[in-house]
This record gives sequence, C-alpha cells and structure tokens, in this order.
Amino acid sequence: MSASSLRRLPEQSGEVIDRSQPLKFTWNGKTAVGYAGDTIASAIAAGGNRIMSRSMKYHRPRGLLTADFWDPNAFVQVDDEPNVRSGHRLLTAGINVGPQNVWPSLDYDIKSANQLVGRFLSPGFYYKTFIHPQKLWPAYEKVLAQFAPGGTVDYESEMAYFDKRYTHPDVVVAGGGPAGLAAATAAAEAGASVLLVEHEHHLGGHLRYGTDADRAIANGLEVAARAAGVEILVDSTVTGRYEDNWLGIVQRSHPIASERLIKARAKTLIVAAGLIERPYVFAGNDRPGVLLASAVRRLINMYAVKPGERAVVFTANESGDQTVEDLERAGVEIAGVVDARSGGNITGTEGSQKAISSVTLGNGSSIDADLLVTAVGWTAPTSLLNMSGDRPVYDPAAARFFPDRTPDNVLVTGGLAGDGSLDELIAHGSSTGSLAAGRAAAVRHRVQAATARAAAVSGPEPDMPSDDRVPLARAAHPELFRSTTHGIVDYSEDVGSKDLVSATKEGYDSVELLKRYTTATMGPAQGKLETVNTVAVLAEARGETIAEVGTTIWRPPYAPLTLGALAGRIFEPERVSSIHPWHVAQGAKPILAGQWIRPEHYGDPQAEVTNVRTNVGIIDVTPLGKLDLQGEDVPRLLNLLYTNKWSKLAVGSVRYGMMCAEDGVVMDDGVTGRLEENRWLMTTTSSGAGTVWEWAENWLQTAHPDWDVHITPVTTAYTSINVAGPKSRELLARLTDVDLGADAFEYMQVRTGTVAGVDDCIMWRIGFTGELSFELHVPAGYGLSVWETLMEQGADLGIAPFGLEAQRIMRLEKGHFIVGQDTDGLTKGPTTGLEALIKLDKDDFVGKPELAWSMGQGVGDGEAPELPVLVSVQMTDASIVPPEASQILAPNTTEILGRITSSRYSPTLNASIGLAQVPPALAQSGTVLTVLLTNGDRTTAIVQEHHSHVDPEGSRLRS
Amino acid sequence: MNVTFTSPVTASYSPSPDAALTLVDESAHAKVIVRAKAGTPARASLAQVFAGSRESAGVLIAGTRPDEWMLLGEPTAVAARVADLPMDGHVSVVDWTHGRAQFRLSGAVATSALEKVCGLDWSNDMMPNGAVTSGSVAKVTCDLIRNDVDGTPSYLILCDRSFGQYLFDALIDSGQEFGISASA
Amino acid sequence: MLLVPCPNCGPRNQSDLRLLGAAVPRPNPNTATRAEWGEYLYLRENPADWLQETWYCRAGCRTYFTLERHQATNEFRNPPMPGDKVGNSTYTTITVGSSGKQAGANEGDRT
Repeated sequence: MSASSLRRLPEQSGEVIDRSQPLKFTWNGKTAVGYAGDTIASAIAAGGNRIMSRSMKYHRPRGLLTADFWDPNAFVQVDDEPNVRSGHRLLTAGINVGPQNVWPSLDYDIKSANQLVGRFLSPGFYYKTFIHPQKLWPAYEKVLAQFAPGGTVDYESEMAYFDKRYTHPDVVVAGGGPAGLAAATAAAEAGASVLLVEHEHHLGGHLRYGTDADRAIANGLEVAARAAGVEILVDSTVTGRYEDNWLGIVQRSHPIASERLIKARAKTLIVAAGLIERPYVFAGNDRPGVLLASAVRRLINMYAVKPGERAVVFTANESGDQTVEDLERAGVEIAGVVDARSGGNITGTEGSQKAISSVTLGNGSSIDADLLVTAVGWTAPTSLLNMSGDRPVYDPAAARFFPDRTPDNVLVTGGLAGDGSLDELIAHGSSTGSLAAGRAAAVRHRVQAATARAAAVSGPEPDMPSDDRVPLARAAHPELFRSTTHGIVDYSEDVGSKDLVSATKEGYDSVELLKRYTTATMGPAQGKLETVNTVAVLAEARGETIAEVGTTIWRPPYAPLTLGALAGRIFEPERVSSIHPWHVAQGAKPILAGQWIRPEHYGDPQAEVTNVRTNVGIIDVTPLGKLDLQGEDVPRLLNLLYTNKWSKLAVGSVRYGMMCAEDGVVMDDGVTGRLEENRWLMTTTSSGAGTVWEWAENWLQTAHPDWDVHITPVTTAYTSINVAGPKSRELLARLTDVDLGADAFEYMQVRTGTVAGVDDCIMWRIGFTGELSFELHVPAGYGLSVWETLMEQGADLGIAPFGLEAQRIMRLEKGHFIVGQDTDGLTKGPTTGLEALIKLDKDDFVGKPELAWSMGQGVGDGEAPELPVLVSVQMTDASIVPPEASQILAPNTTEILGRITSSRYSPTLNASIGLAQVPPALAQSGTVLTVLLTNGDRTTAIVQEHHSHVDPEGSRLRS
Repeated sequence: MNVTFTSPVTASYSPSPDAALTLVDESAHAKVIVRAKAGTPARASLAQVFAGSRESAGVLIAGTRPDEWMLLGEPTAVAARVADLPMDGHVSVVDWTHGRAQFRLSGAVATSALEKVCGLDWSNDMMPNGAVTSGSVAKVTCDLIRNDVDGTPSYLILCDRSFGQYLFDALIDSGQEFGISASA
Repeated sequence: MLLVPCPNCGPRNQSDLRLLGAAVPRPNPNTATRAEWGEYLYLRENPADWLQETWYCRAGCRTYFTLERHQATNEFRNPPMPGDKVGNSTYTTITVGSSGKQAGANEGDRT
C-alpha cells in the first residue's frame, strides 16, 4: 500500500470517489494521490495525515473535526488561493496544497510558543496591550501582522471571471436533504417553478453518509425532484434573505465562472437547512484525533477513509450509535462506547500535541485510543430564519433552538422544524412544498394582476392557504455542552471556555458583548459550530438558563463568499458622443466626466485657446443636457424653475437662466430657447441633465398636474458642436442656407435649418468662450458627418478642434462660473452676482422665499445673512496658479475667509486668473487677498472689477 | 454635401448565421415619441394601452408610459402614421430616431441572457409577447418590448444613443455562454 | 431589496425607484415665515408607524406618486402588497392607476 492511500478502505457501496480516476497533487511539499470525488481533506486524510493546520492564535496542531464545509481546522492554501475550505473543495489534479498558520513548518511551529504564554493571550489581550503609547502603533502593527492568521495572497494572480444572474422562481428551497427534496418535488408537482439550492456537492443530506437503505431513499427523492422539473444547484448556498424574499445565492461550481451570484426573488422560501453537529467542550478537545460522529461517517461511508485504529465513541444519540457500526465495518477497533444517556461522560484526552493516545472518562478511568468520536447533539442553523425576522427559541428538552414565527412567505421543514422518522420528515417536507406552492400561486396571481405588462390572470385571486401541516415532534436529547473540564469553544478563533468565563467575570456578560470582546463565533465557521456552546458557557457562568441568556442574531451571509462573487460582473456604463471615434483616431486625451468619455485636449490646450481667439475652433459639447419642452404652459414651468422671467421670450430667441432649489442654493444653469410658439429647447449643465429632468417632472407632476407641458430628454438625440472664434461665421456660411448676418441672426437668438446637408439642425448664437460662436445641435446620427465637414471646410481658416480644458480656460477668462465648481451646496443665488436675474416680483418660483430673505426682503423681519461673493481675481505673481480650493486667509493669521474656486493660466492675457468666493468686505475691486498655497507659502491675488478678464464689454461675442 | 448616418455601434462583429441567439443593431430604424393628454383624439387614434404593443401598417405602436407611445419602424411608414395623427389638444411629437439606440435580441435562450443583466421577471406570464416595459439593463435604463418573430422570442431593447456601444457590448458579453452572434 | 408597488408598473425592485422621503406640503411662498419654510425644508417626521412617502419610478413609468409605508415593518398599504407579513394575511386587490398622476407635495431632490 502506497503512503498516499494508507488509510483508504477497500471499495464499498455508496462511496463518492471514482477509483478509476486517480489525481496527483502536492500536500505540504510532498506528492500525494487522491481520487476524483475526494475533497482535498479526504484525500489528505486518506494519505494518513492527521495534522491539517495550526490554530490561529496558539498555533496548536489541528486535525479534521467535521470534515465538511464548516471544518474550522481544514483551511489550506491551494496554489495562489488562500483560505480554501479543504473539507469542501473537491480535489483536482496537479494542485499544490499547503497548510496555513505555520512558520516555519507544519510539524514545527515557532509561534506555538504562544500556548506556553497563553495567559498573555487572554481575551482582549491585543486591545489591552497594544493601546499605549499611540506613537508605537506602526511598530505594533508590524509585529502583529506576523501573527495574523490566514494564507498568502498572490498579487500577481490573474483576475478570475465572476458572473451574476437574476431569477424569479415561485419557490426556493434552501437545503437538499430528504425534507428539502420532498418539499421541492411537492411544490413542483403543484405547478410551481422551483429552485433547490444545496450547500454540499451531493443531495440527500445526512442520508448520503448513512446506510445503503438511506442512500437508496435519497436517490429516489432526487430522481423524483428532477422528474418534477426542479432546477437543482449543488455546491451552492443561499447566503442571505432580505425584504420580500430577495435572496442572495452563491453558485460555487459554475462551468463558466469561478462563482456566480444569483439574486432571486422567491415568492415563497422553504428553509430546509438541516442540523449541524455540535462539538463537545472538554480538556484536549482540539487534539488531532478528536472528531465528530458525522465527520467519521462522512470519511468512512463517502470517501472510504479509515479515520483511526482504535476508537472511543462518546454518544448521546442514534447518530453516535450508528457511527459505532460504521467504525466496526471499517475495521476500527472499538475500545469503548461511553453513553451519555446512561450518565457516561468524558473529561479529557491525553497524548502528544499531534495525536491523542488515551481518553479520560467521567469516572476517572482512561482508555487508550487514537480516535475519539463525539455525538453530543445538534445546532439548528437558523440563519435564514433570523434574516426573516424570526427569533428562535431554545427548547431544553430537545437541547436546541426551534423557529418561533416566520412570515407567510417563509416556511421551515426538516431538522430545523423538528424530529421524527424519515417517513415523517419526508411527509412534512411534502406538505411544506404543497403549502409553499399554494402561497406562491396566490402571490403570483396578485403580482401578475397588478403588473400592467403581464398576461391577464384568469379567475379570482386564490386564497392564501393556511398552514395546516402536521407539526414534527421534538425528540428528547440530553443537554451536553461542556464537560467538567475546560476546552476549546471556538476552534477557528482559538477561544476556550476558560476565556469566556473570565471575560464574563470582567463584565462582558451579555452574549453580544461577549462575542465581540472574545471574537467567539466571529471566525470563518460563523457560529455554525460554536454559537450554542458559547451561549451555554455564558449561561453557566451567569448561573442562568440558555433561554434566559438568549443567542446572537445570525446575519448574512450564511456561508462566507468571495468578494469577487459580491462584486460580480462589473457594469460601469460609459457614454460617448457620435464623434467619439474621431476623437480616438485623433489621439485626444480622454477624460471621464460623469459617465461621459470626453476629449480633455488634443495635445496642447493653450494653443487650442489661442486658435479659438484668433481663428476658429470646434468642440464636441454633446453631453450638455437638452430637454424638448412642448405645450402651451411651458412659460409657466420655466417661470417656476428659473429665477428670471420667460413669458415674453420671442420665438427665435434664447435666454440664460439660473435654477435654485427651495433652499435658494444654485442647482443648475443654462440657456433655453423658444423654437416655436409652443416648442422650446432647454439646455442644462452636462452633469445636471438627469437631475433637472427629474426635477422638472417632479414640479409638473406633483405641484402642477394641470399644466400642459411635455418634457422629453433629447440630450443624445443631438450631437452638439460649438463653433467658436472670429472666423466661425465665415466657416458656417459655407455650410448653411440660414442667414448668419450680424443683424439677421443676433447674439442670443436661435435658428433652425440645414447645416452641412443635414436638415433639422438647431443653431444658437451664444458665447460661453467669449468669442463669436454658434452652438449647433445636429441629429446625432449625422453628428460625425457634420463634424468632419466642418474640419474639411475650415482647413483654410485654420480650424482646430478644442477640448474641455481649453473651454474651461476660456470660460474662466470670460468669468463664467460653473455650477458645482464655483458654487457648492451652500451657495445661494445672489452669491453668483446674478441678483438681477432673481425676479422677486414673480408670483412664485422655486426657492423664492429663501432668495428673498437672502436679498434682505421677504416675509417677516430678521437680517439678511451675509452671503459670500463670487469675484474674479488675478494673481500678483503670474507664475503662480494656486490649486483650486486654495484657502483665502486673513493677513498674518490662519483665519479662513474664502477660497479660490477656479484657477488657470490664461494664454490670452499671460496672467494667472481665477474665481474666488470671498466675504463682501473683500469683494471690492482692487482688494488684495492672501492665498495659502499647498506648500504653506502665501501669495496674493487682486480682486478684479469685472467677472470677465477678457473683453468685459462682450464686443467679440456680439460681433 | 456628403452626409452619412453613423450608428452608435461602431465596432465590427462577425455574425454566424446558425447562432441560437442573435443580437442585431436596428438603430437606424425610425423612432417617434408621441405624448397625448387624456381625452385627445390622438389617444383614440393610437388605440394602444400602456405596457402593450401591436403592429399596424408596418409600424409598431408601443405604450411606453401611461401618456406616451413609441412608434417604431421604417422611416416612411412611421412618418405616414405620424402624419395621420390628429394633433388637437395637448399632443406632442418628438423624433427620437437619433436619440435612441435600438437592438433586437432573439432566440429561445434570449431570456436567459437577459436575466444576466436585468432584474425584471422575464417569464412568459410576466412578459408575454407584445409586453412593453422599461428597466435597468446592465445599469442603463432601457425601453423593453417583447416582439416575437415567427414564434421565436425576440426583444427590442432601446437605450440612450450615447450608451449604445456600451450596452451592445454588455449584451454580447451576457450572451457569450449561449453562443451569441452579433451583427452591427 | 424591497418590492415597491408602483401604481402603473406593478411591483418593482426598490432600485428602480427613488424615494424622496416623507411627503410634506409646500407652504405658500408668498406668506410663509422663516420658521414655516425652515420646517418644510428640513424637518421630517420619522415615526415607527405609517408614513406617506413620495416615490419616483425612475427606471419605469417616470411617475411621481405617494404611498403609505410602515417605517418599522416595510409594509405598504393602499395598495397593499404580498410581503413579509406574519400570520395568514388576507389581501385586497391592488388598484392600478390609469394616469398615475397623484397630487402630492414635493420637497424635491436637493442635489
């Protein structure tokens, strides 16, 4: 017999391994062999290895305990993947598996000296020891990092592919044991669409590691479920349950993805999570060779692994009794059976750190053995019930928690609901499935009837079926949590019962406090093994019952899942204009503005500015928000949303407007034009496009539903191009039949017509850059065509494209503020200097009272607040461009009076220019401001007379 | 002057004729939005309730909002239908041909692909042929119309033109495991 | 993820809608005192009880409407929804609104 199959039993019925497929892998640096179907842990155990890992705090050697997903001692490193649950992960060929928490090796670990100084590692040790002095924290961190548990992350690893899916089944069944399978089948046979989710690789629950007869029943249940059309996911977990049965499900073994996160909206959820076997607390209970009965049965019956040579079985239930039979069949000598039901007890194990050699009984005697099997009862994993609002109640007669009250759309079956014969469990599952299908049908009818797009429903809404299931009985079970000695309670966090008792004495005597202070139940097992023992030890220390102490509330996720699964596929929508391919081809430097990818510049933004000021430039301003407004009440809506007046705007004209919110704070601005008597085009800032649309709809729908206005967003229906510069008229005249003459088409007017062969273009004369300019709005499908024609036709005029940066420089030279850049969440309308556009004589507009008060008017007394003023500044030293948001200080102090909101170097003026928010006392022209730079130096800026640094009279844009 | 229409989908794809799942760029089709206040003759003329659709003289009339309809089809047919609309009362018409990207996802497994990018319930009862709704697809708000072709499930997906290339690629990605074929 | 009963679309995922908070009436802008306006802008009830709220069906029918939601149990009433009720509840029929335009005060999106 080769070393790697030292403990493999001869072929037997029911095993899940395929002996025709041996798989080579590496464990702890040595070559090993397992079979397809093995878990990594069963393959390692088959090789005769008993030590799987070292514990996280004391670095004690640890062997298998539960041999399944929850095994706290079986975390391993697999290639570049840390913290792999070897009790669950299936073996694959060629993997390199190594132990964790070992240094320098699994057999000899320096940090195991921790256990000799264990008293220093009492609960709260790190909090208490490394708190003072604070300046040593970085040093502490370095030392503590050496002791941090877990595997090694490989930063060079390739990114795995994760997937996501939504589904809307009638019934989701969490758990594929006998009751869950029966429930799924019954629900599907009643006409429901059913998704069954099983945590393990195999269906059948505890039957899977039972007798041949058990397995035959499990197979029959599985065949029936598949025949009924149940969608079955194995190796998948319902990780969380949220409002209205919104479920998170992680599918671990998906053919195309590392993990797939399924978001399911179930009309009914059936929780059939089964029961999890509980460890017993006694001295030496974490010595390798101490296993749970269910672990032993899994190893023998599923993986054909002999767990030891000579065993003591401590049993309090039928499952323990069956383990004795399994051990005998596997050729393990039974050295003793200690029966808790007739008063037997165990108090400890003896042996080396790496293996037990004998078991000490309650009567003081001891039995030589290399294997101790405990079967002391079950923990009810009520997580999904807790997440449904249930607070399970402890029943001392059955020594476990039971559900109390769940919502109508959450039903419980199987071991969580009670005990009974297999037939009774299956019958309960079936009746639960029928009930769930009936309730799902009622919900489906109702949802379908309420959904306009859905198919018509037939007949009246079915009644919500009432719960007339025959409840499952509760079997009596002795309460066995801690022996007369102390041992480990939380294996993954290395917390012992002694630690819990001393923490209780320190005053951490509520279960939620105790948990957080000692970290018991907070490790990777997430309470599945240790919660009830923790509560029991606390109850004992307080001299109370478990029911009185209560338990912690289980929260999502039921089982840990990777961050990759949660992040899933990344959806980050990107928006581009129709000219985008051209920008890319020209090598424009892209900048992300909200969701838009825009050209920041095409190489030299300063030169782009100069070209606009001397020749002609074009910029793609498609992201500008555009709303088509139609109806005879549009002027009323504009009067309400903007602070200025709109009723008298003539057809063919445009006007600038500022919008404030109800608190008077500036929220958006832009130009709106009247195209026809009852048709207008509103533009908003690029970032405000969505907000303004919703805002306008809100006022229209909730405050003035009687107004006749239709709002349609047309932002991307048009490609928007600003043609700017002294030669812009000359260029456009070559491409349109619209009369562009200074008298025929004045500043702040709008025209529609054909441009570059494209009909239905909208053109308005405005001048954000300060130059003569025409903003074109072209049907988007032709946007690229028009742009290319402009470039071609403007070649002899020196045309060049310009980007966002050049535009920002030019608007600053012109002193135009940008909402959100030069204003913030506290900037009220008058600060911008546009008081003249705030028409308090209008009957109503958004923010009117607040703006009136801020301007010293309005209802009631009270002084007007002193609002900051937006001013233009020039730096006295043109070589210094202070970063935006630089503070403006009172001279010779650190008192902050204001800030620079925008700053750029102006190639037109060869000056360093900016906008600033300052108090009124500093707003006079010529005031010298002290500006704090990021390096701590101070410099000065001078307040300018006009907002506009270039052409303050506006003769260029009116030319 | 040389004028060319550009679709929002500018990347090129090589279609495979036998694919079980196909994605076709129909952005060049005409799309017109009609909004009509209750009681207007335009409503009676459209005769289509919210959340449903039907084909009439080569134009698909979809009830996209309680007071909004989208007319889809070949430009001449749509233009003719719009010209027929009685404009009395508060009725507005906006040509959205250039404002929306329009894709058609077809195949027996189309719903499986959509379930990967959209949280709506795509089952037959909740989204029967002709159903119209809107919702988030790969985080982009879309108008969604089930418009089966010869008994094969087929869905029209319309989004803001600017999101077109992104959404097209997201749908292809979603359809990869079902063997999607794209033509743009 | 709550299911919100949109009067036009039917039940929708909460992420398809925007909750604008408690529906509060807008004072007359020409007579409101600073205190009244301040209350309208900034003060909201937060009872462990039923509350009338404004929702916007952002990804759906783009309608603003108000619904009563219980702030402690997340139940909706008028229209009621099949949800996480405890006990064998009976439901009445949802009325699907035709226009969906329900007058209600707004306090807007402050962004």
